[in-house]
Amino acid sequence: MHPRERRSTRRRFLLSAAGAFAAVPGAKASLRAGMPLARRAGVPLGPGGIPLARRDHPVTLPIYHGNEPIASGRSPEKGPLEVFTWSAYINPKVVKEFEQHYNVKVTVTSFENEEEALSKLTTGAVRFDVWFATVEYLGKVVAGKLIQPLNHRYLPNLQANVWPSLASPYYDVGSRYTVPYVVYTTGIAWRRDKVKAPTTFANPYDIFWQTPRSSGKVAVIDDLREALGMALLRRRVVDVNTESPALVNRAGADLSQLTRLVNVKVNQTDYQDIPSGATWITQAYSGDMATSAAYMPKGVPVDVVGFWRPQQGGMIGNDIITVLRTAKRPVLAHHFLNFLLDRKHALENFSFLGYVPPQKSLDPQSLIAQGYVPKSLASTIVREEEFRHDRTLLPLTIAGEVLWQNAWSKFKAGG
Amino acid sequence: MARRGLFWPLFALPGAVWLVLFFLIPFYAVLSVAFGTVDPIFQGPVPVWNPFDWHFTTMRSVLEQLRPGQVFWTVFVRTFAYVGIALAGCLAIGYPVAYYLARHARRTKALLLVLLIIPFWVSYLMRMLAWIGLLLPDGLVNRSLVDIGLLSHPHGWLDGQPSSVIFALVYGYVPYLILPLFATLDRIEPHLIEAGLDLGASRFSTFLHVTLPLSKQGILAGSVLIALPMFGDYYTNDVISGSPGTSMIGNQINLFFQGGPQRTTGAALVIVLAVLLGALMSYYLYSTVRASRQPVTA
Repeated sequence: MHPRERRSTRRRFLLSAAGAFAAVPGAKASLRAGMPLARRAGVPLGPGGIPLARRDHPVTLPIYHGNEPIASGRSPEKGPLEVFTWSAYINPKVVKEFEQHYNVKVTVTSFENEEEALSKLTTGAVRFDVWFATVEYLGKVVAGKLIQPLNHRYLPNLQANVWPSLASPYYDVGSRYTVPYVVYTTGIAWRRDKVKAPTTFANPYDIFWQTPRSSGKVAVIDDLREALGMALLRRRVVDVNTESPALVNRAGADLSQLTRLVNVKVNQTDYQDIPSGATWITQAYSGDMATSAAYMPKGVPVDVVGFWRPQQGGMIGNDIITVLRTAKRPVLAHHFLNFLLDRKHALENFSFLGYVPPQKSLDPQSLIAQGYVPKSLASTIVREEEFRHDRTLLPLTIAGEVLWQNAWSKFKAGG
Repeated sequence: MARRGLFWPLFALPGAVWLVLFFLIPFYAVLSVAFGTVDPIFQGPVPVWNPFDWHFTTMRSVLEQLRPGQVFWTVFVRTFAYVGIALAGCLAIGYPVAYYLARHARRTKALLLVLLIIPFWVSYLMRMLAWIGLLLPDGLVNRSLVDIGLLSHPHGWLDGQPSSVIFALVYGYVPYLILPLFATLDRIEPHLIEAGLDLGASRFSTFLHVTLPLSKQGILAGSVLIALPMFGDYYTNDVISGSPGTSMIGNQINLFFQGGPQRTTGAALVIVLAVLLGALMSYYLYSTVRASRQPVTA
């Protein structure tokens, strides 16, 4: 066992998380006030004492005293609206249209990863109105009162346009704090002209381990949850949020075997490495591959790029948009969220990003027919029903985070 | 007299303030994080400023991982090997260049110095990123080597090769070595070399027994200047390789600092690295002090 892995009993992590919860101002008060925290018995708690959301135990996030939704019927502020999002994660055309529609200025500031964003936001040194976040961090930012609850009267497009399963998702029942932005799956991208397809292997994930003469041409995503999660799925472990040391360490060991077998690379450049031929087999996000046509070298057809994911039981997820608690223009921020949930603007964003917005009216076939996605990459389009049977990476307990990070550190040390 | 006595020492004040503000205080902050705790909600580091309240659990587990065969041992050994080879490569390239500039370039000296400084106009990161385009399977390097017949097919320079990482380190840091070396070689009195030749020594022997010993401080200064950032470098490996097989200690530090509940581990690794480098620096300081006390007697 990895010596830095402190053995932690279930009881200990429940106690430590409960202790953390007690430290959160207002948390006890909200419990006394009867604010629902989902089922607490038998459900592991995350940082801040909020139960960890799972499909089979949805979580209604607490609303704390002093951090209530804004009142209805207010007019949007004058701006400028400060938006904090991933790099190149919103179509500038959509931002421009919002500016024209509301006659305000929008400033978009980007971050490279969620931890960096969180570090900046928690220092209080930066003030934004809107923040593009991930479900993984939701419990923390709610418990830390970093984001504010939403007033749905400003968000009519949520119920009108968004898939029902994400209009009130299990990680935020009633969409108290979030609206969904885009959905994605994680699968395998490969170069059809260089290697055999994943489906030619008895276990398609074995393409990483068993493709001959592929040293240096194989990559996994530089994200510990995604990469270790894929190694778990290969071993037919369906709980990609497991905190079993044996399973997580075995997944790490399997990845380390990839280093010895094929000198695996770890990066986030799947969208350009597969088109350029620098990589032949990579773990990839569906949206990155949907836009691979834009990165193909001259004379190389896009249909040399393949994208595979399981019919059932693959990895699926969605990003979320929130309004920060310290937002100076909270009403305008709500209008911005609603604007992005409009079908026209969601489609404009899709054409820029390649990631599918969870809009009821978007038909996968029409996206191909209209040329948004090449026919050969139809598997990159995510459908609502897939959220019922695919796996989602969700928050872990603190002990679980330590376990996963240590397995990742061991793999990345290349020993 | 008292005023005159303070006049020259006051010149050191800006440097001293700079050192305190941007080295001592940040370094103490790293110590306070390494021996501190973690925020229970966001898992960000919570520094403990009072040394009497420090926690040593993280440092103990990091030190355990430094035993042979353990995770951090692997990356430390690899880092020392890469930096050692890259340093040797830098000296092999940098010394002759600095020597030529100092001793033989006459009218072209100014032009060559400007050319040496040009790489500093472009950021280190940009220079590394530029190599990606050059080293791609269909990049300029592969096409040129295939065209002139040195390669039968494109080589996988970016396929996680240790040689590519070491080459990139040499490329990135060699200009920083040449300048201090040039400054030292340029200051060597020509009559000392002439004396060696006049006394019957060959050119090579004169170089070996006069020039090389006199340039020792330049070699040490240049080596320290480039070795220290190389030890903490993580970006070169990320850009040029990306393979865990070439991971350096800087990559592990970055991994723990980038996220998760173990930022204290990242800070503890920084401390361990600083202690190791401090030992190397001590030799440099000792050597410098000793050299400054010895008059040149060639």
